[in-house]
Amino acid sequence: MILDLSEQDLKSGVLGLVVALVEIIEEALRLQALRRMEAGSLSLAEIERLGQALSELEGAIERLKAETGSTESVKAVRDSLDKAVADAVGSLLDPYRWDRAQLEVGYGNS
Amino acid sequence: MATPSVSTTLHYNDVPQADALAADYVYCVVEDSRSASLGPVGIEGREVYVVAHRGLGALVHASPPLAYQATDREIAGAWVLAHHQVVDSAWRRWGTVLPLTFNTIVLPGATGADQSVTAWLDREHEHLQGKLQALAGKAEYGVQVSCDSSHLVEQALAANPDIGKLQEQANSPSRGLAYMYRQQLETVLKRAVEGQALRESAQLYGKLRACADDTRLEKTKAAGDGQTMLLNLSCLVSPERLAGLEMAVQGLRGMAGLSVRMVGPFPPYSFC
Repeated sequence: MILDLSEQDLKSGVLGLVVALVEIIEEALRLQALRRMEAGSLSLAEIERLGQALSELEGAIERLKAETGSTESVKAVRDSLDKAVADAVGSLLDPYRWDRAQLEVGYGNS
Repeated sequence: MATPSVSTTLHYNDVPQADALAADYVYCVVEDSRSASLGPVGIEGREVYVVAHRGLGALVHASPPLAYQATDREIAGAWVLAHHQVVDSAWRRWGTVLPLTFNTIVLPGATGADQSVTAWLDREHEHLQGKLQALAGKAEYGVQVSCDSSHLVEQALAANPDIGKLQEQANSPSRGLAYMYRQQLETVLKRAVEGQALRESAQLYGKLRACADDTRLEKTKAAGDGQTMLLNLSCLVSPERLAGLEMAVQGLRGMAGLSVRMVGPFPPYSFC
């Protein structure tokens, strides 16, 4: 296979990957904060501080995406990650899906 | 001693001419004791014929001993459609069919593929006959029920009065608190809406299941357009129950926020 990449493609690909990872980490932090909030282990002052930090992080990520024009490539990375996870989980839970997936693309041996 | 090398990637067009059509591609099984040709109606115009044995007939075409493989969706789609058309016309002609999955290929034994099919019909005779009897005269219908997502949200809000309190908190003048409560509100609302969808799906399932001889729950698909698919059901229906199912579907169509799609009749693909 011959890789045909321009420098620009490579840059936007790597940037998309990095920003997607930052986004995922931010979501993980937010989920963790929500869990602790629901468990009642945070004081109002702590919730306020966490909320400010997370909303600033979210704003910074949005600005970064807008400034670098990487919104689309971040979305592409996230979509393909979501699909990979959904496929892996789906095939573990429902092996018959393999059959159907194979039928859809027209091959497979039953 | 070196073992003979074997090509691991055979392609459909690479099969040597000599054993090009040594196998049998099987479409479906019907009740018939006469071997007959149905003409060039198979995948890529192959001649389809009946291999009959002890009152059962398998509809086959002579095929290379390889699965159909295509990377092109259009070609794959045409093959699957041709498979369906053979099963569908057999279903109309014989009334009852046992459809087999696309790409069911019987490899030849020592005496040829038709003999292998005959041996299979013989070995599985009772099993196949039992299945054919269970499906006799019945047809498959697909019923998909979707509802407006906004309708689900309203219902979820009505069923969970606590959410109102979260909405107030989310309007807090303090920036960090407002942010966290808004996140919490989104999570709680999403969970409530999913719970509401699940309850409504279960109700619909109960109603429709009562009108069919058998059902299979299929995976719901993303409906888009502000809609949420609640139920994707394959129903096996005998002629005398069809009116009841249609009436139930009609009843659902009259309910606020619901849209219902009913397709069929099809050969009973999901019930073999």
